[in-house]
Amino acid sequence: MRWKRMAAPLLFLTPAMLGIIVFKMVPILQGVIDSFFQYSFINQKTYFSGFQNYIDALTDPIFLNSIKVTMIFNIIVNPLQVLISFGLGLLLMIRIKGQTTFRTIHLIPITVSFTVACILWGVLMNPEQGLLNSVLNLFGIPNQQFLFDKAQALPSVIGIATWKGVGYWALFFISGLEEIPSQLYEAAAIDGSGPWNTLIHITIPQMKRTVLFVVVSDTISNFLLFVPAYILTNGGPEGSTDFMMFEIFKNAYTYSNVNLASSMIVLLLVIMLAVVGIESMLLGGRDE
Amino acid sequence: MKVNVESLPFDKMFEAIEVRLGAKEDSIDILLVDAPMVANYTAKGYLADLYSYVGEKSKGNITETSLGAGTIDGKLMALPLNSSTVNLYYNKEIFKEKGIEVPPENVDERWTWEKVVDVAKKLTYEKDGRQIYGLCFEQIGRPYQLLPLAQSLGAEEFVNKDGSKTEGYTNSEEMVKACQFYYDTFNTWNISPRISADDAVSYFTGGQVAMFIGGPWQIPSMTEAGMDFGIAPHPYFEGGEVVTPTGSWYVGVSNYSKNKEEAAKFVEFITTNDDACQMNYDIGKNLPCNIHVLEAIDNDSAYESFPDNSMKLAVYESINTAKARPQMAGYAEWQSVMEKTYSDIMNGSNPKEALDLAVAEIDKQLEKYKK
Amino acid sequence: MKKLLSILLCICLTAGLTACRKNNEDIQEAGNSVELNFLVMPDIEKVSDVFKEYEKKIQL
Repeated sequence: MRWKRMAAPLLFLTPAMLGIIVFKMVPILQGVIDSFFQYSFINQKTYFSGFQNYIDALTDPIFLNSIKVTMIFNIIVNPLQVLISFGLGLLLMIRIKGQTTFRTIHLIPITVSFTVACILWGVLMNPEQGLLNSVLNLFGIPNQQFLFDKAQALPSVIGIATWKGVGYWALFFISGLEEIPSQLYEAAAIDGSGPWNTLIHITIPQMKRTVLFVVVSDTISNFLLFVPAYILTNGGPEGSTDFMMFEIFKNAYTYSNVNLASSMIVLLLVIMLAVVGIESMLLGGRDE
Repeated sequence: MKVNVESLPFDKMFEAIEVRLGAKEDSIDILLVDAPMVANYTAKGYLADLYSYVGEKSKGNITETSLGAGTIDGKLMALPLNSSTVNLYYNKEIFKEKGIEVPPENVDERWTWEKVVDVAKKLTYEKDGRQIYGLCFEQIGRPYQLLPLAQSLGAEEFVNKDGSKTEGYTNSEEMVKACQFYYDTFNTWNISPRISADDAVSYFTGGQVAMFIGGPWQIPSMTEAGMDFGIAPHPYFEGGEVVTPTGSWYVGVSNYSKNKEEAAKFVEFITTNDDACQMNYDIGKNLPCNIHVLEAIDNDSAYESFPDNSMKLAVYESINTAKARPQMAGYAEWQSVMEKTYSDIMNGSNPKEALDLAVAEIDKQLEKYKK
Repeated sequence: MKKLLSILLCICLTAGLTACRKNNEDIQEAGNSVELNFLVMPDIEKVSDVFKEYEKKIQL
């Protein structure tokens, strides 16, 4: 009897589940298995090596540096992006003339592919002839090196990633904000609550689920950041933008060491799960 | 039969080879193999043995050295498409504007790097809002171009005998000195633009560089841009050896190709057939490995005029001053780290520190070729 | 009912025609036989006329 009721939903879910299993689960499993093997070019065969790859990765100063770079990047960029996109969401909710135009403008970065966006920003940030420097020169500020300076490269990448991401995350906040029943606002207004108070005591608590979703998704996509390192900086200067994904790519495809790269990916996965777990614990809680 | 040409920028092409042949894909039948990578690709099983497909007559059409460099353990893994050399190209207009004498054509009077820097400083200035630079390398950040700096200072080896350790070799005193020179051109004397290798030639053809250290394959671009340019021999360090870069692009057949025989026949044609090699030279001005074409360049009156006569200079350098890059199974790893290191040095890293970090990273990577 | 049948008929016809065309193309392609994929970089792409010479030679 219960089977009949479950049949239809199960049937509809099957294609999607199949997709997830084949394209996500199997490669992940394969990667984990690969990480326990090594390949010898001399003998042309693969052999079991236990945790050797993990030890090699964790004793490699370059990989350790990439962990550091990734962590620093994420500690800065995640709160930054969530805050800015939340603020942007609020701004884009205000009923003023031209709001549709403003909303459209902020959606443009989403439509550009990240690769193209990076190339364009690379041109804008060119130390000798870039537009950004020309603008700075107008204010008497000398040419900045941006992506070619050890101290400026990571902040520049943070800037590009934020520019690309905030419009997208703001969309989620807008939809979350629109869900808040207007009666709550009316009640608050009647009780004499000012805009700041309303924000803290009504808006934010109602947005808890949306905030959690954005924080987790943003964290995941930022931990997997790869394109700017690949297109613009090659991990430099001096490894200051050498993200873990970039090291993984290098080990897999430049150094032809897929097994070591697999162990690095597993480590990245573990760190990411830990971070997301902490975020969920802090922001989860029961719906009020 | 049809040949589909897929063209990728230099770095991306290397990557595509690793990604696709590493996955044993059959989407590539024929590939370019950078001379020092023949051993590396052979070790990884990427290349098919061409021995049974290529005739003796064809093999006799090319120079012995170039045939030898494509042969690993007696197996013919790749055939040479062309060899190469590097000269000093200069923009006559810029020299004229500043009233400075151009570098001489004669190999016995070639300039030293010290003299080049001296002149370059005078030829770095601003004109109509554009910055003119005295000196620019074509292959910025690449060992092909930059190793001869160290070799001219006396560096002999960059890796130990069995190709497993670079400590002490790639970060030798001579290498540090050469990298200091490289660092200075960007950061101390400011005579070179901090750009990528892909942009270098367009800076020269666009009139922003006075002296361009590049290869004859760029001559078609210079002629097309209507440049008034001259050719001089590659510089060397005062008191040091004259060393020029060399190295060829080889062509190989993928071990995973479904059409090995047809592919091999194609490779044989473009690398050894006299007419094909002649055409390759005429269009691309690449230094040939084909004996008959080399002889033609030397003797044929059709090659007496500029810029073809510079080929005689090219042939001279490839016979007398050329030094190849180090042969080692881990060349891909070595090259990748060196490119990153050169880039960091160009952007201001201390050369000695950068090189020490580089050898540590490289040696770690080379370990997988030991087990 | 009629509507459903006619839609079904249209779909079958289209599928059949496409299959026939694909079959024809395949036969033609088999006749033209081999396609070789050559991975190069821009400096070498400049001399791709040399590669076309080979194609011409093979046709003869």
